[in-house]
Amino acid sequence: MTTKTLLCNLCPNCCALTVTLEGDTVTGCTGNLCTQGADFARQELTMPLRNVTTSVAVSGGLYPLCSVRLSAPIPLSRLTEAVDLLHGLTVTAPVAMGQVLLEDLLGLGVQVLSTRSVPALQIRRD
Amino acid sequence: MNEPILKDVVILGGGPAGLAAALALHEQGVRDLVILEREPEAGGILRQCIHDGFGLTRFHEALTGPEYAKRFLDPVRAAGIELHTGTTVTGLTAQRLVTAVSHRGLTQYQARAVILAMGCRERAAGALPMYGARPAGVFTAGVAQAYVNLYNTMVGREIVILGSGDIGLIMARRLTLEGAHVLGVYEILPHPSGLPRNVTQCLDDFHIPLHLSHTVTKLHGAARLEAVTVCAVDEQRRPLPETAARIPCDTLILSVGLIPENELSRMAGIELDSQTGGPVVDQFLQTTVPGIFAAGNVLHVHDVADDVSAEAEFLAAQVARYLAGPLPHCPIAVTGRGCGHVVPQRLCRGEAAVLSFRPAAPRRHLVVEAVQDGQTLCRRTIPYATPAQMVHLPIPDLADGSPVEVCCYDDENPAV
Repeated sequence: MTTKTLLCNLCPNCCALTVTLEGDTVTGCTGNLCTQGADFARQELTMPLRNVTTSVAVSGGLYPLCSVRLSAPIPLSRLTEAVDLLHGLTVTAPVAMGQVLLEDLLGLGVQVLSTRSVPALQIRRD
Repeated sequence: MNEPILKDVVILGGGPAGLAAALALHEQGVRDLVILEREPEAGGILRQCIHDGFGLTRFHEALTGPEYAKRFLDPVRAAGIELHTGTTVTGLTAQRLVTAVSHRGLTQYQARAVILAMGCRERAAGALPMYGARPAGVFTAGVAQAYVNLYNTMVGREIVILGSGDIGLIMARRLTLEGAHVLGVYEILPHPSGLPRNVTQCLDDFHIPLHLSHTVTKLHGAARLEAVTVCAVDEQRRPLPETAARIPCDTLILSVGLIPENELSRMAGIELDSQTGGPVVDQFLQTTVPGIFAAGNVLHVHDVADDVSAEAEFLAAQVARYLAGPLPHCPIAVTGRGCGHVVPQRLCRGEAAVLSFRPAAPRRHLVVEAVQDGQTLCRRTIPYATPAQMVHLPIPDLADGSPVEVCCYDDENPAV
């Protein structure tokens, strides 16, 4: 049996978790203020998950960028790949907050969602 | 100039505090109110905080800043609450006369109650003891965040971050994702200033080194920053010259503290607390000038926006009460031991309150107590506490008028 300490990053409480392991299996978790702590520890020790927030380029918009996040966290190991893909993406204005900008990111089954609205740039022709 | 416009409540600032206060007031039937916002859009600093983690307490989901702002801005608009953006308040008097400037010209409001919700700003390079030239390439973390997230402008490539405040940690990750090389974060204190979760998910995930008990002592470069000198510091935070190292870089990001923005408060003659940098308030969040209230980061710097919204809603209830009649007198002084500061600074008799403060140093087993006349009023223990996490201590109504002291200590090591 081994013990590991890690910090839960699910909320600002930042619980200091002490996890006991039998081989690779989590058998106990203490220090968590809520039930999510133990699940986090199990996930973190097998395949850590993170959400990604960045911006994508907008063409024809009032602003040059549209901030985005993912509908669900993805494996930390795929994060750089995801960001590289998002940096190559250009969307067309108008963009509404919450709009799905990409349906299935890297085949991970998560959506890329807009987190701001970008109105189309109105060109005056008078 | 025209006669001042009469208002029940004028709210200075349309960020998380101002929006939450306005909504809560509206819900309580106070309809004659206006929000004055300096920026072209409401939302305050949330507009540029595109990272997630907002709303975890309040909405039980991890929203980004703009999404969190929308949760307040939509109902504010739906309720038809008067909101003026691009409007800078330039004057505030103790008689609650508010002077504002916008493209419409000069407008004055005579308010029955004023809510200070101006937020805070960042400590800048001029406030730091750094030798050398003053080249371009030195930014506060929030300015760098605005450049990158709002204006699509990259601030640099080889980056050193001084200070481990939350925005600095967030920017370390953000700049890394944008292709910059963050060489390291240097923190003068022996512990990180930001939340532990930000140290793990913004630095550890990206293998960005955190150098505690270190600071930047000198800037090198003429037109653009070329390098910084970093030094380890002793226990009194004095740089140790023998440890000096030159780190080539083109950008220095500062995340060295937030200062409540209280120029208008000063103008109105409101007493400020030298420790919080915000107004001295009673348990109803009323400042020393009757009818002027404060909530959010203008009062004391909070950890998360959720707490700001909650504080502003509490304040709104007190303002609604004030409009119906005077609030109880609050003569009881509150002081802190083992904690930086305590808000509110004054209490009344016969009504419960919540005290907010931060432990002075990280504690493995923090005990917080409120003591009056040698009697413990209430006690709370927290397994692991750092100065990055504000502590809230509800205290019962007081029968006695003598001062209250909040004590923070480590149960395993009471001498500390």
